[in-house]
Amino acid sequence: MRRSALVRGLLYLGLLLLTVFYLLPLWGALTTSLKTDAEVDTTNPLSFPQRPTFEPYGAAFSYLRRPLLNSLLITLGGTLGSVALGAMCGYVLANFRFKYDNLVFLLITVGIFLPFQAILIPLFQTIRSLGLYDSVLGLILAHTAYGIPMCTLMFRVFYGELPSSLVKQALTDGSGPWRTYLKVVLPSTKIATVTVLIFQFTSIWNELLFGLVIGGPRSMPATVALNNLAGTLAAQWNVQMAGSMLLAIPVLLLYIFLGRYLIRGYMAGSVTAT
Amino acid sequence: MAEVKVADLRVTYNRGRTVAADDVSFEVTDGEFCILLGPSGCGKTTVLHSIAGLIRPDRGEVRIGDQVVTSVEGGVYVRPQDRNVAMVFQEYALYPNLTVWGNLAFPLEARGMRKAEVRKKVSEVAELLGITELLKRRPAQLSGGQRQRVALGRALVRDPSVFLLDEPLGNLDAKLRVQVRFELKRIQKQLKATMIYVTHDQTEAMTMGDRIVLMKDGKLVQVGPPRELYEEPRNLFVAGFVGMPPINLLHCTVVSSADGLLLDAGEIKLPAPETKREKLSPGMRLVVGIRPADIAWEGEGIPLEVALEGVEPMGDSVIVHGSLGSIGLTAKWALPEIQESDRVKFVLNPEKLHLFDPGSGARI
Amino acid sequence: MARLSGWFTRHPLWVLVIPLGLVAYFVYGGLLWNFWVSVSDWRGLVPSYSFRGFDHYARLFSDPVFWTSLKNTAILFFTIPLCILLGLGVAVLLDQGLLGSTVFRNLYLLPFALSFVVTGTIWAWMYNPTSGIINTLLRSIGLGALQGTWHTSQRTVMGSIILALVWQFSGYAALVLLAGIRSVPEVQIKAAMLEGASKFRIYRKIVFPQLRGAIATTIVVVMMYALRSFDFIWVLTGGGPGYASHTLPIMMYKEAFQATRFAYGSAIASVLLVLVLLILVPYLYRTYRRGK
Repeated sequence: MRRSALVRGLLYLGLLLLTVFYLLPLWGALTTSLKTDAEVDTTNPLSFPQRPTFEPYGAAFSYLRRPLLNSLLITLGGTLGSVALGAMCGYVLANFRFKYDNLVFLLITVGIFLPFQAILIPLFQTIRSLGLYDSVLGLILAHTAYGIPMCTLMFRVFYGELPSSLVKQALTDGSGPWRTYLKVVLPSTKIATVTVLIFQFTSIWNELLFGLVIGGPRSMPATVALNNLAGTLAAQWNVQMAGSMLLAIPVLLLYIFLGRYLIRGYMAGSVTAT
Repeated sequence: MAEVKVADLRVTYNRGRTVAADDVSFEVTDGEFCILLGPSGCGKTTVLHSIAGLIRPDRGEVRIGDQVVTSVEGGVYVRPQDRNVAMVFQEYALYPNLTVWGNLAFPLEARGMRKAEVRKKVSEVAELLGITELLKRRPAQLSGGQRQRVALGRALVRDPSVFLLDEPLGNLDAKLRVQVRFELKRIQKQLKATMIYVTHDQTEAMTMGDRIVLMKDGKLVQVGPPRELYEEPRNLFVAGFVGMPPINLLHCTVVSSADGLLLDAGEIKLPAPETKREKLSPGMRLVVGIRPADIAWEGEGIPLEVALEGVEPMGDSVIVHGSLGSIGLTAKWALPEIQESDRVKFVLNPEKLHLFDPGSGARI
Repeated sequence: MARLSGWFTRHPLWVLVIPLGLVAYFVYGGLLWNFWVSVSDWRGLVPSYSFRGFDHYARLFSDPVFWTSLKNTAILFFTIPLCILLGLGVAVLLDQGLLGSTVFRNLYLLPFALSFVVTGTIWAWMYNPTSGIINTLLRSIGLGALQGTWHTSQRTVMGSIILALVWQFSGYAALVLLAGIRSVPEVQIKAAMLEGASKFRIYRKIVFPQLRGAIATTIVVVMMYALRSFDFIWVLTGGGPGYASHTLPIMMYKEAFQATRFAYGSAIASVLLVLVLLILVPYLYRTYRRGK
C-alpha cells in the first residue's frame, strides 16, 4: 500500500533515530580510538579527529598482541571441538530413535542455560588437577565441553529440517551411519555448519569468565587483557577504545561478511520456545 | 449487490518483466455466479486481487456497481477496505487467536458497528451456515469443512456488494467439496449475491457457474455459460480444459471422395460435418475433437469396431478406452456396466465433431 | 563396517560417549561437586572436605551483601520488559516494508554480536562523568542540567547498567519479534485489511496475540543473560560503587576467587542455580512435552 510522503518521512525518521541510538556508542568509540591523548581531553568525543592517528592502536596492540593470539587459538580450538562433538550429537538425536532419546536431548540442552558460576569451582579444580591451569589447552577443553549443548541444539534443529526420507533412504540403501553422515548429511547442510561455526566462534571469542578463572598470565585471552588494560590505564580512553576495536574487529568482519549466518544462529538458538 | 466490470486490465510483476494478466475485459451482472477458470499461473487470482484492490494494475479499469474503483488512466484507486467487497481465501485466513464468534464479528467491529447489532448479525449468519454451536471454539478446534464455513461466514456477515472467492474449496476432501459446492450455490441463489469465484477445477466451474471466464497465460480465452464452453469451445485449449474425461483429439487431413469430403486420420475416416463443408478443402490439415459423451454404443452414426483397452466403471456410467491401430479413443456411456470382450462398437455422430486449425488451435 | 553400523543403530547412545561424557562430567558432575563444596569447609588448595552442613547457607541469608545482590539481580529483570517494548516498537517499524529495513535491522542487532567486555569498556567511556560521551553530548546541546554521575553513583548505577543492557539486547528482541510478526500468514493480514481493519487494529487484534511464542523466547533468553550477566557488570563497575551493583554472579566470583572462600562462593552459586531452574524447568518441561 502506498503511504503519504509525510508518513514515510516520519517512519524513516524513526529508523534513523534508532540507528543513532544503537550506533552512537560505537561511533564514539571509533572516533576516540583515532585521537591523540591531547585531542581526547580537548575535543567532543563524538567529533571525528582532525588528524586521525593510529598511535592508540599501536599502544593497545603492543599490550594485546599475545592475548589476541591466545584468543585466536582458544577460539579456533574450542569452536572446532564443540562443533564437531555437537554435530555428532545433533545427527544422532535427529535421526536415530532410542530409549530416553528426548530426555538425553533435554539434559544436554539444560547446559545452554546453565549459570556458569554454578560449575566454576569444580571446573577450576578439574583444570588444575589436570595440570592445565593457565594453558590454552585448558581453556579449549572448557569451551569445548560447555559449547556442546548449544551446538547440539542448533545441529538437531538444522538436521531436523532435512527431509527425514533422505537419511532413511541412504541407510536402507546400505550406506552405514558414518558414511551417510559424511556423504549425505554433511554436504547438504553446509550452511548449517557455517552457521554454527560462526556462532560458536563469536561466543568463545567474546567470553570473559573462563579466561578470568582458569587462564593466567601466559594463556590470558584478549577479553581478560582488555579488562586489565582498563584497570591499569584508567584515563587513556583512546587506548582503551582502540583495544575494544581490536577485540571487536574479528566479530565485526564476520558480521559484515557473514551476518546472514550469524543471525540465523541467533534465531536457531531461540527455537526451543517457538 | 452490484455488477462488476473489468476493462482492459493489465498487471505485471518484477517491474514489467512478468506479465500476469493482459487485455482482460469482462462483465459480471448483478446476482451472477461468475467463475474465473484456468490452469495454475494463468492470472486468475491476479485478476481477482485486482478487483479486490490488493493489486494495483498497470493499465485498465475496474468498476463495481456505479463506482469506478480502479482506473489507471483516470488516476482512481479506492482502497480495498473501501470497496465493500468480501473475500474468501483458499487458506481461509481465520484468525487463530480469536474464537469463531470473534472471527465473524471482526469485520463488523473493524467498521465500528454497535455491539447489539454485531451480535444480531453474527448469530444470523451462524444460523444460515449451521455453525451456531461452534461459536465459542477456536479455528484450531475445527474440521476443514467447519473452517471453510467460518471463512464464508466472515464474508457473508458484511453484506458486501461482491463476493470474491479464491479457490475456497481447494483444501477440502473430495466428498466434502461436492457437499459445500451445492451449499454455496444455494446460499448464492438465496442471497442473489454477485460472486466471482476462482478455481482451476473445471468440474466446480461447470457445476456452479452461471458464466465462466476461462483464462490462459494471462489472457482471456473464452467467456460464456458452461454449456457454451463445452459445446462450442473456441479453440483447442478450451476443448481440452473443459469436459471430463478429456476430449479425444485426432490429427486429420481433408480428402475428397465419391461421398464428398472425408476427414482422414489414417485408421479412421469420417465424413465431414454438413455445417462445416464450405470451410473445408482437400489437402487441409486439421484436428478433430470428439467428446467422449458424444460417442454412442448404438443408434445412428458411423460405427467403428475398436479394440477394447480398458473399462473404468463409475457406478452410474462407464468410461471405455478403445483403440483402432495407433488411434486411442475414450467414450463415456450412461450404462452401469458393459460386457467384457475384445472388441467393442463405437458410434460417432459426424455433426458433433469439433474441428480446429492445428496451427492456431482456433475453432473452424 | 557393516558390523559397526549395526552396532551404531542398535546403540546410538554409545556413539556419543565422548560428548555425553563431557557434558555429564562438566555440567552434571560440576553441579553436584559444587553442591558438595557448599556444604563443606573447603578453602581451596588443600583438599579437606569436612562436612559443615548448611552453615554457609545460613550465613548467606544473614549477609546483607547477599540481599543486595539478590535485589540487584531482580532489578536486572527490568531489562526484560524494556527490551520487549522497545523491540516490539522496532519490529513494527521494520515491518512497514520500507526500503532498507533489513539493513536497519542488522545495524540494530550489531551491539548484540559484540563482547560484553567491548561494550562494557565502551559504556564506561559513555558514562564517564567528566569527559564521557553522554555528559559531553548533553552539555553541547544545552542540556547540561541532565548530566549524571551514571555508573559511578550508588543511586544510578543499576539504571545505567539496565540502559546499556537494553541497548545491547533490544536489537535481538526486535529480531525475534520481527520473525514472529512475519510468521503470521500474510493472507490473514490481507483479509483483515479487506474487512476494513486499520493497521493499528490488525497489529493489536491479530498480530500481537500471535506473538506469544516469540515473546516467551525473548523473555527466557534475556532473562538467562540477565541472571548470568557477569561479564558486562564486571567490566563496567566491578560490582561497585561499594556493593551497589553486586549481583549474585559478581558476589560469587568475588567470594570464591578473590577472597578464596570457595565453600561460601559455591553456596551462592547453588542459590543462583535454583533461581535459574525455577525459571527454566516449566519452560523446558513444555518443550520436552512437545518433543514427545
